[in-house]
Amino acid sequence: MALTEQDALRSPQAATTAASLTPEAFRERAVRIEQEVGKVIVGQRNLVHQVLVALIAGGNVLLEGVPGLGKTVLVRTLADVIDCNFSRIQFTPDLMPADIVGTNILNEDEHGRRNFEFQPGPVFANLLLADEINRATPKTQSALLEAMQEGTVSVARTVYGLPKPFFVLATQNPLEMEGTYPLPEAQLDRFFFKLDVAFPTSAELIAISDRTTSGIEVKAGRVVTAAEVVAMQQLARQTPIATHVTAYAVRVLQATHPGNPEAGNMTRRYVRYGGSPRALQTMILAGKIMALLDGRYNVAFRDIKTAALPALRHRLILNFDGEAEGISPDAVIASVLEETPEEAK
Amino acid sequence: MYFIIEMRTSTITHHARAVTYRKSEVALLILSKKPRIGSRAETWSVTLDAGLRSAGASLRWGRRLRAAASTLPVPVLCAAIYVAVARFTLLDIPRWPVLLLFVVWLLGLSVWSLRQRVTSADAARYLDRKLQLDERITTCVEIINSSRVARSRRVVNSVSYALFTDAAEALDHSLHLLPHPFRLSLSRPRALAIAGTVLCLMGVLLAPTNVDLLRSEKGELSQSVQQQLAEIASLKTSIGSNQQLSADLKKSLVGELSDLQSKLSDPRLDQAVGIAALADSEQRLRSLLQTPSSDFDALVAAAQTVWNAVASNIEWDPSQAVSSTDLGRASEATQFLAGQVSNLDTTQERRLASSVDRGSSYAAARDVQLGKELGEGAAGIRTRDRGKAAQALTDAAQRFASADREREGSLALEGALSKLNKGREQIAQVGKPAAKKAQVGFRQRGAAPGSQPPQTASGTPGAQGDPQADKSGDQSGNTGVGAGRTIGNNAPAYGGPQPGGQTNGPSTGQPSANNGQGNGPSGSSNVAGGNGKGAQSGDGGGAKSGSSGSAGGSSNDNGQTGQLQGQVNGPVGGTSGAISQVKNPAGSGAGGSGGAQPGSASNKPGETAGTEQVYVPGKPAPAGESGAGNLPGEASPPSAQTGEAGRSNSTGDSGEQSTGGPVGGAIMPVHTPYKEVIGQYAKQATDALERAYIPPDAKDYVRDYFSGLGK
Repeated sequence: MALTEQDALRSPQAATTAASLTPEAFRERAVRIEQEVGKVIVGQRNLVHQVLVALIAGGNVLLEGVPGLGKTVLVRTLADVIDCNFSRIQFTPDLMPADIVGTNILNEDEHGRRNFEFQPGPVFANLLLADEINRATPKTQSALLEAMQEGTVSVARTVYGLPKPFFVLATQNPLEMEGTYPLPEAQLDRFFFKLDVAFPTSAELIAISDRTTSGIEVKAGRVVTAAEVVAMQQLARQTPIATHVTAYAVRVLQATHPGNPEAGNMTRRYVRYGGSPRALQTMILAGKIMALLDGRYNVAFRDIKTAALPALRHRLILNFDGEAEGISPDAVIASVLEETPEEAK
Repeated sequence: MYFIIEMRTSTITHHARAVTYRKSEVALLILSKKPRIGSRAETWSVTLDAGLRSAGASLRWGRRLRAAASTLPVPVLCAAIYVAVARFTLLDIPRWPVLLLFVVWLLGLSVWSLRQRVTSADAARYLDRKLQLDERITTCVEIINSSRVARSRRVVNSVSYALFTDAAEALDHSLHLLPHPFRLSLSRPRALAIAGTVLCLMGVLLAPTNVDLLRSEKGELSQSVQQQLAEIASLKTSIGSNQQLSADLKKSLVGELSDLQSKLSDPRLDQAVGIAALADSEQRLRSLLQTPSSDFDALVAAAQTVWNAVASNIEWDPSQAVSSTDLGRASEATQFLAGQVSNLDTTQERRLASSVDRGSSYAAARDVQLGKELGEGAAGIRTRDRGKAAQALTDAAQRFASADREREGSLALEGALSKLNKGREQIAQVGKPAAKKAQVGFRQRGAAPGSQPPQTASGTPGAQGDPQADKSGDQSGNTGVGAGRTIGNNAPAYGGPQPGGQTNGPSTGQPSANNGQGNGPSGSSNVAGGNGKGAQSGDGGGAKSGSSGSAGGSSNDNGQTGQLQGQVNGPVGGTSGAISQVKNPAGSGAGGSGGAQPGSASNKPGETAGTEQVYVPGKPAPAGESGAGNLPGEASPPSAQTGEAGRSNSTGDSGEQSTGGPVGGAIMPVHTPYKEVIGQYAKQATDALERAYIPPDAKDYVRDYFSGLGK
C-alpha cells in the first residue's frame, strides 16, 4: 500500500495545523529547514533538498555513499531541526529483528506478578538512521518493512504505531560488498528515494575541515515541530496536478518496462524489470513537493523529471547485459526521460 | 483555510466562425470570512478568458497554416503533373482545370478547419507551452472543468487558490509574448517539399516546349485533311455528274477517290502518310491520263476557228449550242455547216473555206484525220462539191465530238490531279512557318529534276516590265528540288499547279499584239522573276522555254487559243528546268512555269543569273542562240524558244509550228565549274531521297537525272 492521506491525518492536532498552513508558509518552513541543516552540513544542498522532500512526503530514503560523507550527521541534524526523536541502528550480520523493533520482556511488578512488557526498539523514533543496512541479514532487514510502509510494528500479535513523522534514512556502502546482503526488491521499493551522496568538492572539504577541527561547535536549532512537519506533509498532497502531467509520469514509468511499447532502446536492452506503481506515486508526490518548494502551486513536467531519477534508480532491475556492461540505472532513466515526450503521441 | 469556490462554465460563441470554446467564469462564493476573494476571482476570470481566447485564435490559425503547409505540395504536385501533361503531350486538354485543384484544396482545408474544435484545455496547454507557464493554466482549467462536470461546489484549498492567483499573474505578465497567430515555422523537410513542388510547377509552366506547335500542326493537318476530304467528295460528285465521261473512267476515278477518302479518313493519319496517300492516288490517276488536255490545244484552236467562222458567216448561234465546249460547239457548228453547204453564197463559201482550211491546218497537228476531213470539207466548199463537203464535214463533226469527249475526260482527270496536288501541297505546308510555307514547291512533271541546287529560295517576285525578265523565268519548276527538307517539299509533284506556270499561262499568246508579255517565274521564291514585255514580235507568240513545254503560245486571229494554251500548259507542262536566261524580247510569254530558281539571277539587265545555274539536261543549244540574251525588242530566235510545240508567229494570221528548239532548254552561262558542284548536288539530292518519303518512280527521276549527268 502506498502512502495514504489517512496516515497524515492520523493525528488530529496535525490536521488542524495543516488547515491553517498556506503554501507560502510551507515554502518558508522548508527553506528554513534547509538553511538550518546547511549550517551543519557543508555542501550537499541537493542531497539535503531531496531528503527534505522525502521527509515531507513521508517516505524513506536510502543513502548510498562511502563512509564519512556526513550521512549520520545529516540525519541527526535534521532531527534537531524538526525537533524529532532520533535513533540509530548500526546494521551488522548478527543483528536480529528484535534488536530493531523491540521485544516483550518478562517483568515482575511490586506485587510479584510477572507479565510481559513490550520494550520498544530503536525503530520507535521519528528519525531512524539504519546505518549500513545491507550488512544485516535479510531477515533483519525485513523487520523494517512494516515500519517503513505502514508506520507500525507488530510484535507478538500486537501492533504498535510508530510516531509521526516516521522517517527512515538507511545507508549502504557501495564499495564493501563482501559479506553484505543486498536489499531485496521489496525492501528497496519501500524507499521513497535512493540518493547518492556525492563526494564533497575541494571548497566543501576545506569548510568541513574548518568546522570540525576548529573547536567551534556548530549546532542546528529547532525550526519546526514534528506536528508542523506532518502539516506540511498534508498540504503537499493538496498540490494540484494536471492530467496530462500525470499521464507523462505514467509514460515515464511505463518506459522503464522493457515489454511496454513506450520503452526505449536502452530499456529494452538493459532492463529486466521497471519501476513499480510506488515509483509513480513517488514521482507525483515528490513533484508536488518540489513544486511547492520551488514556489509554484502545481506540478510541472520538470518536477516529474527531477523526481524521476531518485525515485526510479533503485526500482529498476537491470538484466545481465546491463550488469555486465556496467550500465547504471541513472543512464537508463536519463534515456527514458529523453525519449519520452511530454505530450502524448 | 479553505475557500469554497463555485465555478461555472459557459459556452460562448467566439468570433463569427461558430467555433466555440469554454469560457471559464469563476464565480466565487465565499462562504468563509474573506469576501474580498470574489473580486479577485473576477480578475482571474478575465485574465484567463483573455489568455484562452488569444491562445484559441493562435491555435486555430496555427493549425490551419500547418495544415495548409502540409497539404500544399499535393495540389501543387497535381497541378504540375496536369500542366506537364497539358503542355508536353499531344493530349488536347484545357489548362484551366488546374485552378480547380487549388479551389478544391482550399475548400477541403476550409471544411477541415471548420470541423476543428479548440477546447479550453487545448488553449491552456498552448499557453503553457508557448509562455512556459509550467502547466499553470492547464491545471487551472482542469480544476475549473472538473468543477463544472461535478456540478457541485468544489473545495479549493489554499494551494489551488494560490495557483489561480499565480497563474493569472503569470499570464497577465506574459500574454503579450504569445506568438502571432499567423506566424508559421516550417520544418526543413516540409519547406523542401513545398519549395520543390512549387519549383516543379514553375518549371513545367515555364519550360519551353514545341508541343503547342505540334498540336496546332496536328489541328491544322486535321483541318487540311477534312478540307481535302470535302474536295474529294465534291470532285466525286462532279465526276459522277459529268455526262462526257465514260462509265469506265468514272468508275476508275470514283473508285480511286473513294480509296483515297478512306485512307485520309483514318484517325491515325499523320502528315507523311497523308502526303504519301495523296501522292500515290495522284500517281495512279495520272496513269489513267493517256492524253493531256494540252494535247488537244491544236484541236481546240481548230474548233474555235471553225465554229467562229460558222457563227460569223451563217446563221448559227453559238449560244444555242448544246455543248459549251469549243470542241462540242465545233462539232455542232460543223454538222450545221454540213447541212447548210448547199445554201452558201460565194462570199460565205470563200470565208468558210478559208476558215475551215485554217482549222484543218490546226487540227492536223493533233489529229491528221480530222485535219484531212476538214481540208476535204473546205475543198468541197471551195469547189462547190456539196456532197463531198457535207460528208467530210459530217465526219469532222463526229471527230470533233469524239475529241470533245476525250478532252473532257482528260480535263476531269487533270482537275482531279490538280486538286490532289493542291491538297498535298496544303498538307505539306502544315506546321511550316509562314515564311517557309512559300518555299514549298512541287516540281512539275517534265521539269528538269535536280538541276538546281537545294538552296533556300528567298527571292521576291521580279520587277514588272523588265525586258530581261525572261532570262530567269525559265528556271521554273525547280523550286521544290532543294528547298524543302521535309516530305512534301521534296515529294515530286506531278503536274501540280505551279505559281510560275499559272502566271505564265495567260501571258502567252495574247492576241492583241505585237507585244507579247512574258512573265518571269513569279513563284514562290524567285529573285529574278519578272515580266518581260517584248516588242515588235508577232502576236502573242508564247514561247515555251521549258524543256517539256508542250506548246508555246500559238498565234491566232482571235487570241483565245494562246490564252487557253497558257492556262493549260502552266500546270501540266511544267516546263523547263532549263536555265535559259534567254532574254526573250519577242513578246512571247517566255518563262517556264513552275517555281523559281533559288538564287537565280537578278533582274538587272545584262546581268547573268546566279553562279550556280549550271545545267540544262539535254542537248545544249548552240552558243549564241539560247545562251545569249537578246536585246529587248528583238525577235527571239526560234531555237531559243524551246519547247516541243513552241510556236512563234509573226503574222498573227497563221501560226507556224516551231519545233526546232532544243528540247532540254538552253545552256546558261556557267560561272561555277560544273564538276565542282555536281557532286555536292548529287549527294544532297540522294540524302533528300533517303530522308523523306518519295514515290519510287519519282526517285528514279532524280537518280536518272544525276546518272545522266555523270555521262
